[in-house]
Amino acid sequence: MYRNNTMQLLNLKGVNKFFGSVAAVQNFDLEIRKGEIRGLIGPNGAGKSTLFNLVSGFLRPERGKIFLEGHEITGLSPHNIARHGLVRTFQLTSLFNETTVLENVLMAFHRRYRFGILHQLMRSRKARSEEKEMEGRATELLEMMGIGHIKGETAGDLPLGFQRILGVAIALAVNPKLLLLDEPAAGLNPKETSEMMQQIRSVRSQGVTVVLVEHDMKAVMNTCETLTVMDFGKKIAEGPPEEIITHPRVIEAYLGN
Amino acid sequence: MAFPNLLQLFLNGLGLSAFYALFAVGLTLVFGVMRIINFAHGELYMLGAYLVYFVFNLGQDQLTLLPLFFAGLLVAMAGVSLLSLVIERAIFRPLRKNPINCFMASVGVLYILQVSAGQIFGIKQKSLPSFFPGEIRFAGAALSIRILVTIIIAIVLLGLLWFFLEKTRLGRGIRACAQDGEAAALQGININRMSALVMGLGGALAAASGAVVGTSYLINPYMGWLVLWKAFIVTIVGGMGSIPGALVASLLFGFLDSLISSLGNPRMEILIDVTIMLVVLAYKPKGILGIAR
Amino acid sequence: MRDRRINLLLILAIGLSALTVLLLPVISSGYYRHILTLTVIDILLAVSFRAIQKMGGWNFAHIAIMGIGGYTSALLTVKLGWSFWLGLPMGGIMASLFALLISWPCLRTEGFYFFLSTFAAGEAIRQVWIMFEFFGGANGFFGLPHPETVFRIRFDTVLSNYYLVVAICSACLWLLYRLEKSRLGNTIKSITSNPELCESIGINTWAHKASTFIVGSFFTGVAGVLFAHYNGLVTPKEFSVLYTYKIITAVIVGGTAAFSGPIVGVIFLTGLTEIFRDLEQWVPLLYGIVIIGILLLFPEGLQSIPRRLRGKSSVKKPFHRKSRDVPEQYHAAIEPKRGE
Repeated sequence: MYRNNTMQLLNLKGVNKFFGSVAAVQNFDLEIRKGEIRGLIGPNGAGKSTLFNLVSGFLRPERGKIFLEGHEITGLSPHNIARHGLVRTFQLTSLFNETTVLENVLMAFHRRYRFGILHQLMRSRKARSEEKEMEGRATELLEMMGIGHIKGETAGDLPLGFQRILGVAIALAVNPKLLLLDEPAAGLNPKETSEMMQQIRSVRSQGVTVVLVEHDMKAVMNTCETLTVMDFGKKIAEGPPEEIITHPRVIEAYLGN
Repeated sequence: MAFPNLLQLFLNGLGLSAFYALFAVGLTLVFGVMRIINFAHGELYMLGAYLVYFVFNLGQDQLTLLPLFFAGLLVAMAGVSLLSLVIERAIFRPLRKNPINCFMASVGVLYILQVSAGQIFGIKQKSLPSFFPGEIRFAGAALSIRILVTIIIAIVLLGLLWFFLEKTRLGRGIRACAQDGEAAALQGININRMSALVMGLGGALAAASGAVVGTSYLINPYMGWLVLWKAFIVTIVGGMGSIPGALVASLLFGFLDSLISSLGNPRMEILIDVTIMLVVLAYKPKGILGIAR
Repeated sequence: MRDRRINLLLILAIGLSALTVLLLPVISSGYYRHILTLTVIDILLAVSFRAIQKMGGWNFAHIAIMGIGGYTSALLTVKLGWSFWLGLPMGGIMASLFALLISWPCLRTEGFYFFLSTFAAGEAIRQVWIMFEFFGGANGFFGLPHPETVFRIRFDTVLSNYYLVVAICSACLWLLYRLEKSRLGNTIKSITSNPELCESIGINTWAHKASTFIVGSFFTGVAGVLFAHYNGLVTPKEFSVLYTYKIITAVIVGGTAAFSGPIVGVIFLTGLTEIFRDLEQWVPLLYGIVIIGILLLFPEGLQSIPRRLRGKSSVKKPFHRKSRDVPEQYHAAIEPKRGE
């Protein structure tokens, strides 16, 4: 076990990922403190999504270690990592398209149910009342995120802005300690974007730490306290937004492309 | 039991590998490009054998055995190739979007072909005379000429295939499709034509394997079914879609099965082969060489 | 939001079927009783097949697994003198154990491997039965007893056997139905719809798939026990690939979208087979034509006909839906790991 500062939630040490001979992520170190909103930025192809996939278990690093709250999670499968409290969203919205908004969130509640298969087969009173209770909680969550009014709609039919928020709601429903958001504002208009950022800030105020990949600079500057900049798989800068926008390496990375 | 001469064993193994290779490469080629598992592949093999029989019956008074065989081989390859094109156009092309439907449809084709062959040719086993009798004595071993011919035919046909895939424009188109169908389409490669081509090639190879087998074993409508599962084991272990993989796996199983049957217990063959397949799947799910890239 | 009309129709349909099922054998000849019994068993097989298919797996070892159930009970009752009533659950259990055994290598993320590897595994099982004298070799063995008398009910006539089969199959169908409607069933649907999302919210997709396979196989094994004891014998030939194909055809013909799809499919195919009873050797060809026809014309099965008549279009789901931002090579990461 990695002895750590109790304020640190996520730790990456020397993480490497190769695709053939291409280094997608090189010797990456990262420390995320509890309660912060971290922005992960960089030009396209910098390796941000790869990093997310590595941390959330969809990819295994060739070298390096990843720790969540001091426990090593390197190479664990995604569902295990989710159970440890790390949940990620997907760049292109990922939902259960054929079911309703409410059912989407209920799916994420799956670990909370107490009454198992026997009760369900019998459709016992306990199972039915628990179902009602879960539906209530799911509705609460949806209302808190501002989409309670559409809970009966089919997820796949929603406009993009609502789909994105639903994606975040699903992730939140799992009660994560750390939330990785992959371009939550992509494709959203300015009003929707600022609503999304507002949601993210309120998520943090409930105790969830957030790491955000985003291309919308204005949103990122206003929402994140610290930015980590990636280029060609390496970390090239890290610091508060004011420092980063004037950082020569960062400017070079963006303009150079 | 006399200890089988090592050279003979080697040749038997090679002969069986040659047969497996001809049969399996066609299957894996079709999968690589079309992402379809053609369950009717065994019936194409069976029809190849029957076509040789048909040609033999037709021409046995006019030609001697050797040219008769090669005429039969050519007719078999051409005929089955044509049939494969029809199957691709009528059945696989409209169902292309859904591979599982293609698979089920191919089982439908299997049954149609099997019953038809049974009705047309009769279900009693047919036999052909030995086109390649005799053996060559070499280093104290008796090497069956039939097996040598099988190996030569396999090498020639697979060599032609290799040349076609590597050196010709159409062949490169096929490899592009196998690598990434969407990207290939964007490059202007006609997927329909590639699919048809690949089915035709696969059918020709299957027919060739049927032709060589037909000369030494009894021909019956169910022979395709019996070999099909073996082809699947070979292609899975080699990696679906990988021709090099299929070749390696053909060699592996050719020698292994040959050894097992010479030790006298052919039924163990299946158990051992399936176990190997399951073990390979458990640890290397993409097969020994993985999907061809 | 329930459509009252549909509810009434459903109740009518269920009522009529129940009536038919219960009364038909009484009024018909022995031959039709025989056909009905086998049809009911086929229905259970088709429904359990669909339950397994729902998690993404076309199980070509289905009938072989059925055979494992049959052989297990046969061995227990004939060689060890056990009671049928013990053989029944044991057959199901052995079938599930086998499913458990092969789920590790067969349930990879790439769906193709499942049906290919189960196909080979199924053939291997059949060869094992033929090979070893323990299983009676190519002739199998006979002498399977009728179920012993319980609660003063005797099971030594075709009619009583029919009702027994109906009772047990109905119970199994009810269980399968409730399982599908349960949270487990919903989770499986979600896994089929979006496996990456499921993984990211903590659902162990592989474990769920394996469970479905194992539980579904239990019912398959039970069907095998019923089949074996009804026939009084077990032979490798009974559990042939043609039987697997028949069940799969029934499932495709009926459609996999709804629980009742396979039931419709079995009834349709059995009816067709009976009509062409005299031309028995053409039956496989008939299946082939039916299957190709259905796939080209009604890809979602006969079930979709009323829906299409009403003008609703249905979305055909791709075989393996992949989330675009977790590219293909990443899917390997969702593989089950050792020791999990």
